[in-house]
Amino acid sequence: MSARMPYLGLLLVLVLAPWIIPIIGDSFWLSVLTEIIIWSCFAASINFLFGYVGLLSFGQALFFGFGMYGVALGISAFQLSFWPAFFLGPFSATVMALITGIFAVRLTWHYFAIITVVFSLIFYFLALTLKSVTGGDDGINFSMPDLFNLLGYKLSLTNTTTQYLFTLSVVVLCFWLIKVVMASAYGRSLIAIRDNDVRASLIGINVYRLRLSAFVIAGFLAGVSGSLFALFGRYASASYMFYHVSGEGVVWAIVGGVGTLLGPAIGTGIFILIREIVSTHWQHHALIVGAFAICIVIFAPEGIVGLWKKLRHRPRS
Amino acid sequence: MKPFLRIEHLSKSFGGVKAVNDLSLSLFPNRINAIIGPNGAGKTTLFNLITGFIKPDSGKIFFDDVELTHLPIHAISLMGIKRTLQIKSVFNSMTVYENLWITLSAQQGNLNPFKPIARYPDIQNRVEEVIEQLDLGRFQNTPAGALSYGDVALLEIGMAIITKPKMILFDEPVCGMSPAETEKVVSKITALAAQTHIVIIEHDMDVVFKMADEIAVLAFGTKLASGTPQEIGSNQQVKEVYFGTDEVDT
Repeated sequence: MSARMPYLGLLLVLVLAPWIIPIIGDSFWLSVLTEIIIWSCFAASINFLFGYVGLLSFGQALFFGFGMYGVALGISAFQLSFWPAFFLGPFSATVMALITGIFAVRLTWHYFAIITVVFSLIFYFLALTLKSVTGGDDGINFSMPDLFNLLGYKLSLTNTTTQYLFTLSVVVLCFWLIKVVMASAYGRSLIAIRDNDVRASLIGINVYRLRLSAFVIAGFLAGVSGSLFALFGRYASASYMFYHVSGEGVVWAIVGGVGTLLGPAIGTGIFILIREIVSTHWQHHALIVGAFAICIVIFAPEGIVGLWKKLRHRPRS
Repeated sequence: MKPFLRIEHLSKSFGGVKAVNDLSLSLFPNRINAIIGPNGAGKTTLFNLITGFIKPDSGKIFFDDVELTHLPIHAISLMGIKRTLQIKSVFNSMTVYENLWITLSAQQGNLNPFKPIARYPDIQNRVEEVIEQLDLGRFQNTPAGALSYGDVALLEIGMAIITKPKMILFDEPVCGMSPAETEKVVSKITALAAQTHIVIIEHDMDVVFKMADEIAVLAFGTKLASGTPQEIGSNQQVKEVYFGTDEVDT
């Protein structure tokens, strides 16, 4: 029970945030928090590959983009209502992850990193070119359908509190799924592959198939975050498929702590807060972000969560 | 008697070097089989071919009449063919217990992503059994990366036997070990011979002649001779090629 307390405490604070934030500050911070939660799921996708199965992807933005366009095109082009559109996003990202994964996970290390960049660049430029469908860099806008409309009682994500709570539920569900999966024989097999892929195949693990499955799960997570972000901004744009976006996610995950459940969320939170606070005063906020990331990598290579664990378990003299 | 492992006209070249050259070899049950030979004789290449790490240029490998030649590594492993590596190789971030657990779980093919690891009582029992058998209890919760060399070797043996395999290939099991560690490992392997087919590659001649019931000598990728330790010890050709070059080497 004591192990669950920090999780439950954090969850309680997050659930109550729409009512706490207006008391202590500007309600603008609620939308910042929504954004942090969405991007946490994206960082979790990178962590799922890098932290749990040892594959460093710089191409997760591709699946984020597919999630975004799935929702946006679902609503604007296919006239879907909320739920079908919301499922279309992660679904198209997952299918895309399966198709690209078949080729990508044949490789490891820097070769894998490179091929993920290549895939995301191909589709980025494709999305730029197909301006009639994707809107290119300008993107496409859509108007938000209702979450549900029952006997005249409507709920829509246009309400920031509803939007926040919806986003939070979806992302908490994703994190809970990661936790469950990693505590299973499947999750253990992924860790085994990360540790030593030769030995993993020698004990009978089909390394290729498991890497592919992890790649698909990570694509799904990135797709969920992209879908949420599309609903958050009510638009989709090819610019979010650029590998720059993937790179940011990698930094968030590494700084927070790869191979840990909440590390990616913590890294994402810190960086988005730095951006929001510093960028209003100083346009070169990226400089602080970079310096901070370098310090963490040098002084706490296991990230913030790793550092915290180390300090907590340090024997007292 | 039927051989459990049958190798027919196996060849593998790396560039211009014929690492294994038209090798035919049959290994028979109920004895410890050793494969010896000077450096570069093709011993480890042979293990790599049997376990699917590399594919032969030509020739066939049969285990209990099932052809292994074109199967992937994991499929060969799931048939009950396990291997230890010359450079000891375990899951360093996992504890001794977890290393043994995942090994047995992989053999059973467990991949249900929603079933917690605590809900496999049969694996738990078998892991505890092996820990006791190999006297690894003290290290049960130690990450494998923090173990001494000899204890990693023991863990590797544990991972080889936990699935009750049909055959274990030991690649230089006592390489780099102290005399005390060597003795411990030799007695464990000898005890295993009652349960499973054992094939070892070893450089340490004292160990080979003490343990093996049957020795095959490889030189330049092909079989030079095979027989009991006495036969091999008195074989003039073996002395020339093997022990002769050995003296030059050292």
